[in-house]
Formats: sequence, C-alpha cells, structure tokens
Amino acid sequence: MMSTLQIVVIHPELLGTYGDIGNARVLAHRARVRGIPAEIIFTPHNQPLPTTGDIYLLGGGEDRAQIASVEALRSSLGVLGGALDRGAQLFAVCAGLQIIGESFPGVSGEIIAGLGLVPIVSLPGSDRIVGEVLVKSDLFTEPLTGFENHRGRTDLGGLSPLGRVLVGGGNGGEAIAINERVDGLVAGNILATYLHGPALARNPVLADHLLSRVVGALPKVPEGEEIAELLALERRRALGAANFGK
Amino acid sequence: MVARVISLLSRILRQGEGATLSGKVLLALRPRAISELTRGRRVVLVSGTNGKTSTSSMLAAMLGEKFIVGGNRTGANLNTGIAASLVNAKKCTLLIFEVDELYLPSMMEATVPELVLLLNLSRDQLHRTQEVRIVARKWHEALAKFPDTPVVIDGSDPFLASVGRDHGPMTRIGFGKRPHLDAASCPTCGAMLDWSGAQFACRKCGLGDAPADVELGEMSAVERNHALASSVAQYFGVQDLTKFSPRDRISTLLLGGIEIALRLVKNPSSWQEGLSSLTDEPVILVVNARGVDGLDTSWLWDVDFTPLKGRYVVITGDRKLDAAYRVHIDGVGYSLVDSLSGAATQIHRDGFTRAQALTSYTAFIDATTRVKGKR
Repeated sequence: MMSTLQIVVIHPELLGTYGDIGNARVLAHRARVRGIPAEIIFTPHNQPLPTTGDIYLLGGGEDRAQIASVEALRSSLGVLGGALDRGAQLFAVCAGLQIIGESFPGVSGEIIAGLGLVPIVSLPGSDRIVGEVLVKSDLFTEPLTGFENHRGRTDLGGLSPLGRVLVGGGNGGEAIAINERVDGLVAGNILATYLHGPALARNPVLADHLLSRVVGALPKVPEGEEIAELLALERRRALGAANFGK
Repeated sequence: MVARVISLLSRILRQGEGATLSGKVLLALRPRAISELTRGRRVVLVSGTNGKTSTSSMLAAMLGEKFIVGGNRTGANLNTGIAASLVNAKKCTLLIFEVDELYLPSMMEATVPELVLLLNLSRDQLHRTQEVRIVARKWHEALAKFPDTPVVIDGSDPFLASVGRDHGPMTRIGFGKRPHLDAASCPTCGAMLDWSGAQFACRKCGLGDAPADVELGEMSAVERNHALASSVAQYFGVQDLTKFSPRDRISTLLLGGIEIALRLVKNPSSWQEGLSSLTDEPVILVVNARGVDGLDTSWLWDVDFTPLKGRYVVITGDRKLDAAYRVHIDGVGYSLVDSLSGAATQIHRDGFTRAQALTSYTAFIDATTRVKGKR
C-alpha cells in the first residue's frame, strides 16, 4: 500500500497568475495513472504550510503578489527548510524562482529580501522578456519548451542551471550571448525555471522527473495518456527544436 | 474630402479587413482624425476585459431610441477600428466606442467622452498587458485627467473600485460578492484583501468602503453588462428599457450541414462564463494563440473544464493539443479535428443538426467574417 503523494501548492491565490495550478494537476494526474495515490493541497497565504508535503510548488505572480507571498512565507521558512531536509522537492516557477533566492526587485525596482534557500540574486532587466522558450537540459534527451513573461534577470551565483536556452531569454535575457544563456536552476531538492505553459503540462518528462525524485523509478504511463507527448512534440517542433541537434 | 475617398475605399474592401483598413488609411493621412472627427460631439466609451462588444451593442440599441447612434460595433476596438467607424458617422448624434483596455487612456484624450463605462478587469493577454494591475494603474491615471467626466463601473470588481477610488462623478453598481482570480491582494495598495464579509475590503487603504450606488446582487456576466448599459441609457434620458433584454455576442453559422452557435471566449473569466452557459448540444472548442488571443496558453489551466464531462466534445484550432491535454486532465473525453469545418462534418455525420462553439478571438473573427463575406 503506497502512501498518498502530497502536492502542496503554495499561495495559489497569489502565485497562480499564469495557470500555475496546472503544474499540480499534471503531477497528481501522472502519479494517479500509475497507481500512485496523490492529493493536491492548496495552501493560501494566511494558512501555515503543511509539514508533510512531498512536492511543494511555487508559481508565477504579479510584483505585489510576489512580495505579499514572500512576506507570508518568512514565518514558514522553517517548515520549507525542514521539508527539503527530509527529502521533499520544491519546484519554483518565475516569481517563485526569484522568491527562493537572496533578493529580487520590487514594484519600483527596490530590493526585496527573498527566502535565501539558494544563493541567487534577481535584478530588474531593462525590459520584459515575453515569448516561447526552448531549453536543453542535460537531464533529458529532448529540449523543454515553455512561455516566459518576466522582467527580472537572475544571476545563479555559480549554481547549475536547469538547461541552456536555445530560443528565448531565460535567466539572463538578451544581455547574455545566446550561446551562454541559461534557464532556471537545479540545486539539491530544488528545481526552478522561468518556463510557464505550465512547464509540467508542456514537458511530461519534467513532471515525471519531479515525481521520480520522490517515488523512485516510474513505470510508463498507461495507454490513453499519449496526448501529453503529442503536445510536447508539437511545441518542440513549433520552436524548431530539430534545428538545434541534441 | 479625405473621408469621402476613404469611405469609398472601405466599401470596395471586404468587410472583415475593411473594418480597420479604412481607419489605418485615415490615421495615416490625418493622425489626429479621431480627435478632429469627434470634437464637440457626444461620445461614450466602453471598456473592460470582457463584454465590450456585446455591451456596446446593447447600449447602442437602447440609445437608438433617442439618438442616431454611431461607433464601432464589430469588435475592432483599437484606434484604427474607431477611426474607421468615424468615416461614415457624420449624421450620428451620439457615438459609442468600445475601446481596447490599453487604448482607453489615449482614446479618452482624443474623444473627450461625455461618459465612460467600465465593465470589468481581469487577466487577459498577459503577453501584452503584462499585469492586470498595470492596466488598472493606467486607467486610474487616465481618469485623473478627466476629473469631471462621469464614470459608471461594476463596483463589485476590486480592480474597477481601485481605478475609480478617488474619481468624483462615479456611479458604482454592485453585483454582490464575486470572487476574482486576480484580487487576493488589493489592487491599490497591495495589502491582502479581506473577502470574509459581504464585500471585498482592504483593511489597509479602505478599498471597498465606498458603498454601491445601487446593489443588484449576483447575476451572470451578460446580465451585469445589460444592467450597466441600462444605467448609462438612463443617464442619457432613455427610461423605458423593458424591450431590451440581455444579449450575448453569439453568431450563428451554417457549416457542414449543421448550425453552429459561436461564442467568443478569450480568457479564464469568459471561458468559465461560456462553459456555464452550454446547452446539451455537441461542443466545439477552438483554441488559437495568435496575437490578440494571447500568445501564452497557460490560462487554459485557470479554467475548470469539468462542465464538459460526459458531453460530445470536439477540439480544433492552432493550439488544440494544449486544450486537449487540459480537458483530458479534467476527465473530459474529446476528439481532435483540423478545422471548424472538420468539426461540423464530424458532428453532422454523427447525426446532430446543431452544435455550440466556444472560440478564441481570431477563430471567432475568421468564422464570422467568412459568413458575411461568403468566402
């Protein structure tokens, strides 16, 4: 009897501007079709974070919502740190990626202290990066795709990125030469990215990777789930993934 | 003279493109044409995330009782569409323009409206508008330049309450407490809104404290827009509105042997409204992501598609696979086809004579102009 996988959506009312709730739905779905019971726990900003989560999700949000969320999370920092220490995973997207770092830009560019879970710093860019993204990660054979929409630029401070940016801006934006552009980060039990889409809907391999970090090797998804791969393939093709080799 | 030539041009051109092309030509020749052609005339501007076209139509019908009404009625709501509608509007005694959210400030400057009607504000085309709060801030700044212009709003929308928070001649029409996807925090000051009472309230800056001028209670989007339009009509002296009922923007199309009722849906809020209004007939979803549709389809995940469970669902459009995976996760069965005609053919083959389509903006325009232009 397998215990129920707990997927915690942190502050969905603040960090859910870009369909981020979809990441939780996809994780739960891909667990369930493999016979792994899963539940989604929505934790609004005025409730304590559950201590028993297996995967914690931070999504994207508007500037003010991002600040409200980080302020609410400061008191739960111990819970989040403790969860990561016992092997829980954290997947953070866009504003979520910025929140877990040392600092990020506020509404007027002022510096807001982050949660400091990773030694990264986000600064305001000259303009907003908006559009489709193609990212080659060493974790997967095929590139990942997504949609980015952010003004912040993130310096990883030596941490490993999720992957190299083949199309789009990623962490650094156009100020960085395209062959040096990277997206997101991978650090211990933390995985983060600027990709919306939502990222786990458009990249089933990434969803399965997160799940397997918790439950170990996963069986193949059963028949009837082909639509996920069809979507991923179509998006890669739309971004000309074949032009970039492997 | 310029207007005459353009008017002729626009009649030669097909209607779909003609709706903005003659405006483009006019603005190229006379950049200040909108301002010049509306000077000294009575103008009403209608803006909001959803319902601009249907509300302007309802309002135009109501005010048609008393005025010769002109303005843009087909959804072309950028400066080009507005300019185009002015080409043949010389005899009109009242102009009603629906205005794109980002164009509202410049159109207020250009037309100096007699009244502004704001319907709602929620997430839409985020690749273009970036944040709902940014649009709200721009609107607030725009109203500040016209402190004496009457504004009518849905006062139950926290974003509109914020836009009009310090505007003098403001009519707030209340529609009960309506949850808002983007308003966990205060649109004005960023503090968390308190939604536990009868209305939203900001304990920090007091947003939500201003009472509604009229409280009508909860109702559907089209009923709200009808009520807002009625309020504006009464302002202009049209009192008897009994014969005007709430009307959605639904176009009917004969295709592949069946009749399709097309409904425009373009963001989480209008999709949810569309899904709640379905009948038992087969459902076609058409999802595109071209420009005005919003380039990012992430919003599909903000919509609850479970109302489609157990229904006959066909999905098409440029981004049909994004939509298919989305509804699949909600336990909805579906089939995929390559076009709206393909959907109609399949539905006809399966023995149905009618269907209802929820369509992205570009798909809606494609389908409806095809009918009119008989392409």
